[in-house]
Amino acid sequence: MKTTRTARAAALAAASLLALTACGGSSDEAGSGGSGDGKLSVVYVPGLTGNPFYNTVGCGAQAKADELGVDFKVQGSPEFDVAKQTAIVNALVADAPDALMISVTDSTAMKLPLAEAKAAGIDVITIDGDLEDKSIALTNIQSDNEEGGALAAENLAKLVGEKGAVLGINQSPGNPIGEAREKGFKDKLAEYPGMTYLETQYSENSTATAAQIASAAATSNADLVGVYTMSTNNTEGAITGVREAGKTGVVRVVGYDTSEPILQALEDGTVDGVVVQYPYGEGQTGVQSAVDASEGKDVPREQTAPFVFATPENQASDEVQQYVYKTDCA
Amino acid sequence: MSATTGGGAAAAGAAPPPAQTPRTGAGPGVPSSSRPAWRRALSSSPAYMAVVLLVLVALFSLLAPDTFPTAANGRNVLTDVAVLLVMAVGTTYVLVAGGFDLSQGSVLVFAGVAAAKAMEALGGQGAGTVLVGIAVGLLAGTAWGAVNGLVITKLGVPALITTLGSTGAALGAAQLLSNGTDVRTVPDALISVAVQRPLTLSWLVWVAALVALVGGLVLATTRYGRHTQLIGSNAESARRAGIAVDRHTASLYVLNGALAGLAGLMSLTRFATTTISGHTTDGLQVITGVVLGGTSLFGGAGTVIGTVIGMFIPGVLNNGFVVLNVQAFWQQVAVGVVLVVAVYVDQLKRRRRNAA
Amino acid sequence: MLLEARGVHKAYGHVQVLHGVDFEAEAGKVTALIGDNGAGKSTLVKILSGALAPDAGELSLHDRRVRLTSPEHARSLGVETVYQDLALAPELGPAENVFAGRELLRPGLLGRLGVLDKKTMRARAQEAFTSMGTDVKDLDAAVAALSGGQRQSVAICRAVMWAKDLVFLDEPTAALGVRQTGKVLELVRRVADSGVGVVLISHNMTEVLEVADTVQVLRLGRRVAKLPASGTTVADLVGAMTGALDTPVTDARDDDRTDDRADERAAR
Repeated sequence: MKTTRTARAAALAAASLLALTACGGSSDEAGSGGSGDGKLSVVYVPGLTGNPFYNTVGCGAQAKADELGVDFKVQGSPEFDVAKQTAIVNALVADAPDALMISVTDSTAMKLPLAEAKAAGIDVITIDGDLEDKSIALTNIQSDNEEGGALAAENLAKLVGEKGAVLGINQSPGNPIGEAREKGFKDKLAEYPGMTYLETQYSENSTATAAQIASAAATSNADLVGVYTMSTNNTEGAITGVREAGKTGVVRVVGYDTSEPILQALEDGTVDGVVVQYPYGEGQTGVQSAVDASEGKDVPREQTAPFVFATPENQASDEVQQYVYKTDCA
Repeated sequence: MSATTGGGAAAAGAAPPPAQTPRTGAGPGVPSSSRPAWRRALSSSPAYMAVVLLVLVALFSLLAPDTFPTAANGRNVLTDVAVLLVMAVGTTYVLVAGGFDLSQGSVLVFAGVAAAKAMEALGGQGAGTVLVGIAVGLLAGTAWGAVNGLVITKLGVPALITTLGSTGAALGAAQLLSNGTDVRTVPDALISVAVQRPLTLSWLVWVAALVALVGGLVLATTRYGRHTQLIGSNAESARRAGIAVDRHTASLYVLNGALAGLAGLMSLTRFATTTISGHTTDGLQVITGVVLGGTSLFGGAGTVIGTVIGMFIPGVLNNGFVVLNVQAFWQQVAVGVVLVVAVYVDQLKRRRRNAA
Repeated sequence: MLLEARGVHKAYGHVQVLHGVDFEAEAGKVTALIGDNGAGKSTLVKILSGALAPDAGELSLHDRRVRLTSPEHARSLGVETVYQDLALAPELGPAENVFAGRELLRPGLLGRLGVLDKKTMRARAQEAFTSMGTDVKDLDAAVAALSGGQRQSVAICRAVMWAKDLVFLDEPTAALGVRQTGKVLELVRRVADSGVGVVLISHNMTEVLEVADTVQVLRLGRRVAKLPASGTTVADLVGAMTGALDTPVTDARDDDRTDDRADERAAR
């Protein structure tokens, strides 16, 4: 345990350093873009640099670009900031790549710079979130949160023998992503006559509140067989709450999304499963779409990325590891 | 003399009255006949709030007789409140002294990250690593407290603004240290503490109980506590009484930072990870509980026992609503209503008293 | 002489506030200090109580020259001041206020840990309130819940408890009703009878004449009169304050004459 942990930590630290220097390097070459050598050029603008989800999008896109012989690079700001992202997009428009993949920092404020990009003949591909104005992007590639919720419900039902009550812990009311994750789960769970969904509780993204909700429910409700958590903080809290109630293994915890501590919990078996999104695939699809568009092929307006349901049993498998968010592309 | 005055709220209009004009401005006055001690005890906010708490417990016990009033559920509530209570004890002091500290949630995160990073760098799973982590966590919290205290007393920046600033700065610094990713490499020796239950209660609960006990005694029975009250009640008068107001005030923020550091270590123990983004509401939760417990937002009055009661009211409400499986929105409504009513009662009492 | 000031000068920038003022206060006597707004009363009291340093002039306590560096210094020499705002902590009780900043600690280990001796402090405060004949009875009530007169009593008793020699009282009855003013003046008298010197700053000439032994009048930064209270009338004081009559600092008193002159001034 000791050696794997420290080795992992060291590898991670080294990797993030590499990732940082890699990003710095690519920005130096910003001026030399374009398609001078006849190759198709694609740029990805993440919400911010250094974020595992966006990094993984970039990794998937890079792999696909290498495979298809596309010129690909990442240009991003270290902060999640509309103004900084706008400046980067404006600079890129002058550079005129063939396609621009972007994870927008704001679905309305980014309309103007992206409309200019489109007017300059650049294909705009939104990753993980569309603009309000659907007329600008060529395609939007995003995982379907309802589908992910259904996947969680299906797996939880299987895990508990399709019988018992499930508590949902969401972040805060009114968040469209959270609501979709909740709806997909609820609808799927309703297909199992032996299962009931309790009132959704909200943690306001506080780990401690999620723990409190989980421990109270696990202690007081004898029918409770599972807790479904719709964000990483909630999952981390629920793991602790169920443990403190002494119900680990009796009350199953199934979550949405991963984080470093949740990967650890999967290794340790303290969480029963998590829906992992596929940013790697989103990146791949993005580059594929750019190529298809350049060849005059039809690109669907909405494209979804698949999920995987990671469990303690399959977490080490190649299939799941491919889904896990990366701090670098090695 | 009026040039030097200005601190006191107690008496005297600014301009002296013209000679030989008797003034009745002091109002009718409260009859000075002693009220019985039990009535006085009932009129203080902690006693009101204890009644509220008991009513809540009784209500939930009636509505869920098999599931709410159980030992296991009681343990849940105690564990839930423990970490916040440690910070609430420090905040009680700050509020009693007429100050304000919003930054505890972020300082908690910073201390947790600093401790986790130190233990990660040191490697090892044993007690030695954990001890270093504890020292680093406490020091990190204390350092933020010292920054708050110095900025407020030496630079004269209002406490609300200062701690609003450090709320952002401490969280940002924590993210810088951790590169935004939660540290998960916490030594096994620390994690095992979270699972142990000496005398049926978690270590976290015992630590919180000790902090509350010592904090309560110091505030109520020592010179340090008395000076804290004097400063909050009338800082100018405290200064004239020869109390080093600035130094004392700064020390309160240092204390509060150290306790947030301790809470950070407790949170790290509990979740086995730094939960960086999970504490943005901690500061307000703490202030809510402290105010519910009868500590005045305007300084001068407050007790740690009140704070303990005040922290348990939202704790019991939230637990009870989950046990009853009531729609979550009601919890926030209930906590909000109780808070506003409690502060209203406090204001009412002050107004009645100041009119005397 | 308990307190003696000679030739005190003070200027704020270009404004000369005190022009060589003399002042005396005796043990066991109430010395009233009166003067119109801007006469320099506040400045003089601040200098005498250590809050302000004079530009020139001498101060002596018990016939020994002193240079007061701060109010704390003055207090350590047995000189206390009760400001008009009383400087009480409204949330705390009378006993807590009396011992503010001078708390008594329990003997032994507990004391070394900073634990307060609440019982003794309470008893001693009670004793002071009783012996001074105040009507402060509820030691558990917060000061904010007391009447204005009771609050004033708490502030005066606090000063007297710690003042070995001299107490300055700044407008102690300014905010009080008739009945409470009477009680506070009784208290002032009793304080002086206990042997402590009292300097009473006031606007109210009736009460000054009622309670004081000596009245010293300031006008435009100079002491223009020092009169024994007995036999002096309000008209005398008004005359001195307004400059209707420039009384030498002696007992020159001719009621008819001063009254006439005051009337003359008033008529203009």
